[in-house]
Amino acid sequence: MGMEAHPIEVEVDVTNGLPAFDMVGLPDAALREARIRVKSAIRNSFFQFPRTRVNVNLAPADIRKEGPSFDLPLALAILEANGQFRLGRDRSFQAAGELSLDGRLREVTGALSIAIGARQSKAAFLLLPRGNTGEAALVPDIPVYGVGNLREAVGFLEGSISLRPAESSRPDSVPVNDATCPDMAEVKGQEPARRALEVAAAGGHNMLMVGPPGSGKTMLARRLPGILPALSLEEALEVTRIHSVAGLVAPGGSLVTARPFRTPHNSISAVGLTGGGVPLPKPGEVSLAHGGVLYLDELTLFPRNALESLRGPLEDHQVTIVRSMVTVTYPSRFSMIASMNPCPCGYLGDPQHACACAPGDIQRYRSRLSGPLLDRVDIQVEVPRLTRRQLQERTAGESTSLVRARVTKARRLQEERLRGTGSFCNSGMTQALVERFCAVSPEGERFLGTAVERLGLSARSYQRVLKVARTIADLAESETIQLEHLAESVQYRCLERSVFTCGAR
Amino acid sequence: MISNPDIPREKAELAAICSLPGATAGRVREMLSLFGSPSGAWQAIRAGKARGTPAAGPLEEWASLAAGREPHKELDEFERAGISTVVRGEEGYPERLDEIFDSPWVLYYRGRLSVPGTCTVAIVGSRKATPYGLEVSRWLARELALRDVNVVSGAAYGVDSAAHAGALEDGGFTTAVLGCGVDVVYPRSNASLMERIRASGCLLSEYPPGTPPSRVRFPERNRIMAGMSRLVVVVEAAPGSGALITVDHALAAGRDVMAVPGPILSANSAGTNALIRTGASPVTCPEDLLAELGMSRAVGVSAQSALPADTNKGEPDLALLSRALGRGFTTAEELSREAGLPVPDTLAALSRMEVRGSVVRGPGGCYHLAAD
Repeated sequence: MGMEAHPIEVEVDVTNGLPAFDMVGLPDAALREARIRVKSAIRNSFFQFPRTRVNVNLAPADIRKEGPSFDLPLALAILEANGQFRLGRDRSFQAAGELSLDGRLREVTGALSIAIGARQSKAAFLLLPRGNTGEAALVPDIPVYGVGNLREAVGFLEGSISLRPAESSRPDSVPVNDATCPDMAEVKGQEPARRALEVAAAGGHNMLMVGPPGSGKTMLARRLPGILPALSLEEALEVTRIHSVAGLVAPGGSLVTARPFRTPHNSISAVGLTGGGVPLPKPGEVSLAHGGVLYLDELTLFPRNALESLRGPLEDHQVTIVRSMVTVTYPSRFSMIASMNPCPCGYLGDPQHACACAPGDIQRYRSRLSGPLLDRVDIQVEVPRLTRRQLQERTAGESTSLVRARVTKARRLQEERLRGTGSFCNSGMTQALVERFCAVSPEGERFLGTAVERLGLSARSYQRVLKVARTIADLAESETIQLEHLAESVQYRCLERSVFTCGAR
Repeated sequence: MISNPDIPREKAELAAICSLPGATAGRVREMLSLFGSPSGAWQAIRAGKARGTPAAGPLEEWASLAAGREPHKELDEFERAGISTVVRGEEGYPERLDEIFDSPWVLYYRGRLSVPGTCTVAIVGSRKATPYGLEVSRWLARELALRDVNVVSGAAYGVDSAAHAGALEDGGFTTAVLGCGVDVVYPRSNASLMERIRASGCLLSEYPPGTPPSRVRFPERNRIMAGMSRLVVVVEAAPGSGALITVDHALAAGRDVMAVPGPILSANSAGTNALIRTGASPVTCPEDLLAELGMSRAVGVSAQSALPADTNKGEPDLALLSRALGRGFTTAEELSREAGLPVPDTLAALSRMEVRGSVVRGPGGCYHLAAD
């Protein structure tokens, strides 16, 4: 349920009576259908399905159960209760697997959580479809056996077949995985945007890119997971677990080593973002992006309530989904990166294209983003479109690994500074921590005061400017925040500037 | 003409006639000449006797619209709400406005009218101005207002707002001619600017209070801006811009038109550059305007030489960047390449120049030198 696996006891009673197969204990539709699969799988594995009454109880009976992973335990319990085989191993084992009609086993979702649950409930061993063993073997101290079909499972439990437990696939550290993320070196030009991306990665800041179509916003965003520090083992396990629950780990796959990059389309609902579903809520995009990046392209086109639903996960780094029967919590610590056009037609401020929007339209367009959401975006940058000539002139930029090295160093500084405070990076600093760690010289204080006054920065953005300046200082490996760090930070607040009246101070 | 505009009753009746739908300046003139006085015309309208007059069309419904109205009380009510009225021929009515052929009979205003004899200049231009247009508009308006010129504009976004704000900057006087009632705030986000104009300038409109903004009224009010001004300055205008309608009105009324030149690749300067090509004098600095108005003899001090050149002494980054900006580079990326500075240093330097007021940043991440 959620990320946690609860052991369910499968009780089977084969008694006299008219042939029937009944199941109690809050099974859902997919689980009710198990009757058909189990019956056929048993027959097609050259066993007999009892021609009497079969009663099944799933205990505890007050938890809703769903999905096809009960097929294997059901079939095994029926066969054993019917006396078709004799258990030759420890009775306190656990099993999960979906049966196909011919008796073969299919992979289930959440194998990692199932293995963790099995270890916690001190099961003797765990029996899983072979494709799930790579994932489950990440959990130490629980032997995991992989089987291909029902006959093999029965043979193993009888003791007539011996299997070797799956080798632990748990590495000591997470290998750097550059294969899945495109390289920064492929980005030509766009130096200011690259720099902003680096600052965002270094401080864990959320970022919004404003630019006309074709300026390379998506290209930049795709490269953010790569420049984030490599996942730690704990993070990787957590990410794998979420992806496993959502069924996103490929059959035979094990640890997820690359930071996730999720790009939900702007037609997504609030539930799609935060998670939900019946009877047991599944993780949403914010949780699938846990440990990685959530990229919202065309931010203004997202439904307003979907955007508002992001506020909680952005603030708390987890989502709690409450439904009538269940409450589950999924982690959601992710970097949000979003893009939008400067105006409905996309060409405001573009030197080559005239913008066709009325000023009122532009204001309406921008007002779709609520203040509270923008408040959680530390970095706002404009990404102008480059002309073909400019693109040809530009040389390739630094590679992902170079940038990542700097980001990792800056992150390490932050971890040391913030140890014991509950925050991990600069973006997560509370107001008290900002006051403690973002001391500014009197000169800087004066500069910020004038900046707020002359550039129309909101008082709320003051904190953001300080946090980002702290990250810039960390990138420069400077103890204190210098004036130049503050000054650069001020440039990352482009949406606060009024669009039409910048001449009228 | 009005027999005696000082009689409040006649003034109120004239205002009431003008507020009827379809009561154009020309029709009102015909009514007045037919019935001799506003009182006579108003009585005729109420009695339905206006039928058969030259402007017969809309008069059918006028009788019912006029029934039960008490013009005198209406005007009193406006007065209590801080809205005054001035009619043609009355003292305070903009002098030059009387000269055009369809000058409005009644003007409503909040704030105060400019002192008779004040030189009046209209600054108009694109609503979606570039930072260049905004900066120039603000600068010209401020310099004019410093010399007691009444800066007239239309309170729209962009050039208009920048002109009003520039004029008010050092306590100057400015008049906003509206395409809606003077108690209607449009565009809404200009509310604080309009309040400032009301407090130290004038909000002016020929439409009765409460009239909502409408597409047709903006071109109409442009004739008032042109009519009351000695000179019309177009700061930035794309082809087909409403500012060019003001120019047409100005030329029809025999007003001088000057235009601010701009880059020939900029759509927003295409209209102004075309005006210059067809004979409008270019504005290269505020002195050009003053010379045209006969207020200064110095001509041709260019804007560039008026820029503070040495404020960046001892700060090589800033000096390098202002040079790059002066050569016309605008985005942070171009500037960093041109000045040979790393991107973080460029961004930091740009912030410092922005805070100092020597650089302005516009949409699209474009930076421009400020004019002063």
